[in-house]
Amino acid sequence: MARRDGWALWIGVAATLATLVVVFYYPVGRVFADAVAVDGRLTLAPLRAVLGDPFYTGAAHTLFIDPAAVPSGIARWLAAGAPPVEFGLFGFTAYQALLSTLVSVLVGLPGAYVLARFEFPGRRFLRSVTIIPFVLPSILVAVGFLAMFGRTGLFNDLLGIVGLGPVELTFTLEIVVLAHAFYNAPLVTRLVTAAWESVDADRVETARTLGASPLRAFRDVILPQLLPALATAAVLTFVFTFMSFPIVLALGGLELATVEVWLFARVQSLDLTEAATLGAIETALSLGLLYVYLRYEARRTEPGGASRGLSRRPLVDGIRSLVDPLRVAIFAYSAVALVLFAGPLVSLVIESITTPAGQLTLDYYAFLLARQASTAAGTVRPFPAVVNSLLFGVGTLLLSIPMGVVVAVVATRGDRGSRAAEALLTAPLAVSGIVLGLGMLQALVFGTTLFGYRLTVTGPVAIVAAHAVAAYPFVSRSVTPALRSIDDRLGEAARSLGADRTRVLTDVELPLVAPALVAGAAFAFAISVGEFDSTVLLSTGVDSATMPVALERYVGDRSLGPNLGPATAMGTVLLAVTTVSFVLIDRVGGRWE
Amino acid sequence: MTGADGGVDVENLTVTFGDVEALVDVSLSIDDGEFFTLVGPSGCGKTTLLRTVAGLETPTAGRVRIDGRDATDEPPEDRGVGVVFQNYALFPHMTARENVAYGLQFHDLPEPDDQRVGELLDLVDLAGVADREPDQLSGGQQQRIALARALAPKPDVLLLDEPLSALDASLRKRLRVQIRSIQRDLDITTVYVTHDQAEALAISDRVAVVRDGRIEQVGTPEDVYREPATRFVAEFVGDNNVFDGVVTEAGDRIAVDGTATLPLPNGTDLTAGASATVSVRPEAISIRDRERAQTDGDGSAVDGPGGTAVTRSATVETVEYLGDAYRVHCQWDDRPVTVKTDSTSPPEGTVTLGFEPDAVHVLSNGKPDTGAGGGR
Repeated sequence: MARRDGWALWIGVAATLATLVVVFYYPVGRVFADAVAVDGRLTLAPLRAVLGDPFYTGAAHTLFIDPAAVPSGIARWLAAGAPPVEFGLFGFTAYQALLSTLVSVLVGLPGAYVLARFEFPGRRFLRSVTIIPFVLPSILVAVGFLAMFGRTGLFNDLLGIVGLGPVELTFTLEIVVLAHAFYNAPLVTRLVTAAWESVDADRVETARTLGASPLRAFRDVILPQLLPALATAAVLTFVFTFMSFPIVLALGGLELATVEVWLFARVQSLDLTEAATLGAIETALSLGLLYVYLRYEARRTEPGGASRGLSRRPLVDGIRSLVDPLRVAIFAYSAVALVLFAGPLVSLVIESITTPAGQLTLDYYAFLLARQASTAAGTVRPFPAVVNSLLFGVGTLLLSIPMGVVVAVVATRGDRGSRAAEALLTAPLAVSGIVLGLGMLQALVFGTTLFGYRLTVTGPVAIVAAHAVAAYPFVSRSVTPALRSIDDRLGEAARSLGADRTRVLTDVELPLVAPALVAGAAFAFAISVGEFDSTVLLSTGVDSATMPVALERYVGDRSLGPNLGPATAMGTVLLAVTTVSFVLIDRVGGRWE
Repeated sequence: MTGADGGVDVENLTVTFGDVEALVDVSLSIDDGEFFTLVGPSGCGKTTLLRTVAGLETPTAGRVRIDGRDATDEPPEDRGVGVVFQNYALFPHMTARENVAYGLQFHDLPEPDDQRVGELLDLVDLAGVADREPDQLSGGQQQRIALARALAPKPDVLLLDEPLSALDASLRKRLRVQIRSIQRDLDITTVYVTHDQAEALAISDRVAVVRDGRIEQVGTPEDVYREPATRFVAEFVGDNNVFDGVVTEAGDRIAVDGTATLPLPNGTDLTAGASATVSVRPEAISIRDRERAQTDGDGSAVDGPGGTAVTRSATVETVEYLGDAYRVHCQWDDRPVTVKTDSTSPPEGTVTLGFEPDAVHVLSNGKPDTGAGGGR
């Protein structure tokens, strides 16, 4: 049927590719170009400067400046009794990503077990809300973690009640890793739960009738289906936390800087070549990891469609079940999950209306209003930030929905289409917001000379473009399965009844993908409202500051004393706007999953 | 046989998918108002042929004429065809009524749309469930709504692609009677695709047997059943016993292998020494217990001249009870022979098989019936 698609799809594809080239591939390409060229001449000097610097690569730097000395260096290290080695900024970044992945898997796996194997009221709801952390603005979560686990936070209050504490978690690796788990453990839970639910009960029962014990059946039948999902979740978590920015910036500071934070600091001090080099190395690493992973995933075969899922046990089955060790463990896990996931958000709201001494106060919201009324230069005012966020969100929708739909349509066209679409959708995941922001700064904001004209894209347009690049994969990932599940016969039936290709789209295909499209739109909007990384680089001055950018400014604001008041107040506003928009978009269209 | 008004003509149609030839140089002429069935095993190309008539596949070569005009390059929406798909393809986001009404917005009918929808819902006896969504309808109801939807815009041709295959056996039989009676009432040219040869025989004016992208035989159900043109048709349509052999010196018998021979029917014109293939329907063979057969001598090979019964000794292997008859699988020497008998108890042991020489049908030695296009 390809020949009947007509020109509309091809125009859409061309427009989408052109947009991606201008706002994604060209800017990111510029970052790479800046890393290997100085004054227009190819050179490895910037790469060698970074990789050969012990600050960045630690003990591994010899590998890049004097490879011949590596064997003797290793020999000396072994002779010294193999003392601990440092691998510099890259080493630390990978280390914290590894820790974060480990903790995310540890926190996420029991959740998958409970959701997949037990029945209880609210299970479906809980399964749905595991997507929420993913769309929460990261800077908001960082402030929530400060409010929860800070010296005067809720966590220490709770510890105080049972006579423990206080513990100081601010600016520690632990809080950074916990915040990363907040984001990525739900990802582990979602992916593994889905895999677990797709296990065919017939296969497990076949194994049992052939003589396998329950444990053996788990190992032989269920586990092989869970491992690929777990691998997917772990790789994605590693890539995400390797490139993590606002969490580390707000919770770790420069003490615990990762490549991304350092890159940001380089841009701020206008050391753009070093920033570009860092960005290029970082992007190459994460792209490489995703590529290896996708190759692996392409080779594994999908299990056939499950005819019947495993049956669930009731979580609470009479009073006696409450003392069953397994149940006790599950309840303990639930308590930990509650502290980790609900704690930061609840603390955020509580801290915004209480003083450090515990009295109710509205001072922090009054502070926001005062900022609004302030005429001092350089003041980020809250109200324009809200308006900016909403406007950019709408702009992001206008750009990312058509792009996402076009890519989804391409993805449903057989093997070649789906592989091309997969590449298009995965690339933005591997490029951090900071690198994209840097590229857009270099290529679009500072301008590019083309055919003798100086082309510049600035301010809001550049921000919306960066948001759209981050958001359109979510539209595609939501729409593609819906589009794929539409039976070709429906379109053919409509054609035989007299509808032309366009009417098939409007009468049959669009109504059937509408719920998925709305869900994708809700995500795109939430991504835009919460985006911090590229926005903080691209929002020049205070005019195009968004809510997350304003929030970050208020974190350091000490005008009301050493507390998080202004930040938590702004965070609560951001939380409210994000939630209301998400729910609003969702209600208009129906369901999200 | 071209350009029949109101009918469908397919001329030298070839359809390829990549390297696969789904249809090879197929020609057919379907008359106005005819119920024409394409029957064949799965993957034979019958559905591709139907979809090409509908405009849902593009032929590599050849023409499709609908109602006398060349429709080969027309998009499906301009062809005036109604299609019912195997899985019904009802629009899941519309009610039954909205499904039936959908095509009317693209066609100008003399009567108001509401009235037309009402007529069709009555036609398929489903006015009562008109406002339900497809997933609230049973399989049979969905199938009838799909039929009503296809018929609503008054198409010139109705195309049905295995419309009953997802239903259970008894419902399938009832619905095929209903489809046939609606087709007769509307006098609409209909092309019906099925893999079920019994269904094809039961409802068609004419049948085309399709195999490997080619037409093996076209004819009335009686023709195809009684006078199969090829070995494939003989074995695919109904049960059959097929024997290969060589025509004897006298030219009136066929030596099946070595010593065993079968008589050829009167009027057969085959040269001695030519290889030939013959078939005998199971219901044309009688089966008697060994004891009673004794009266015919030893019962091993008694062929009466001109019209007298032929008898052969055989042993019963397995028996299937069909309700109104038994299907008996015997061994005649080492050759399997199937017999259908309406006797009241299952035969067993050694038996005598008997049949008239005229029950032997000569097949065209396995070659496809290339001149099938106009066979009526």
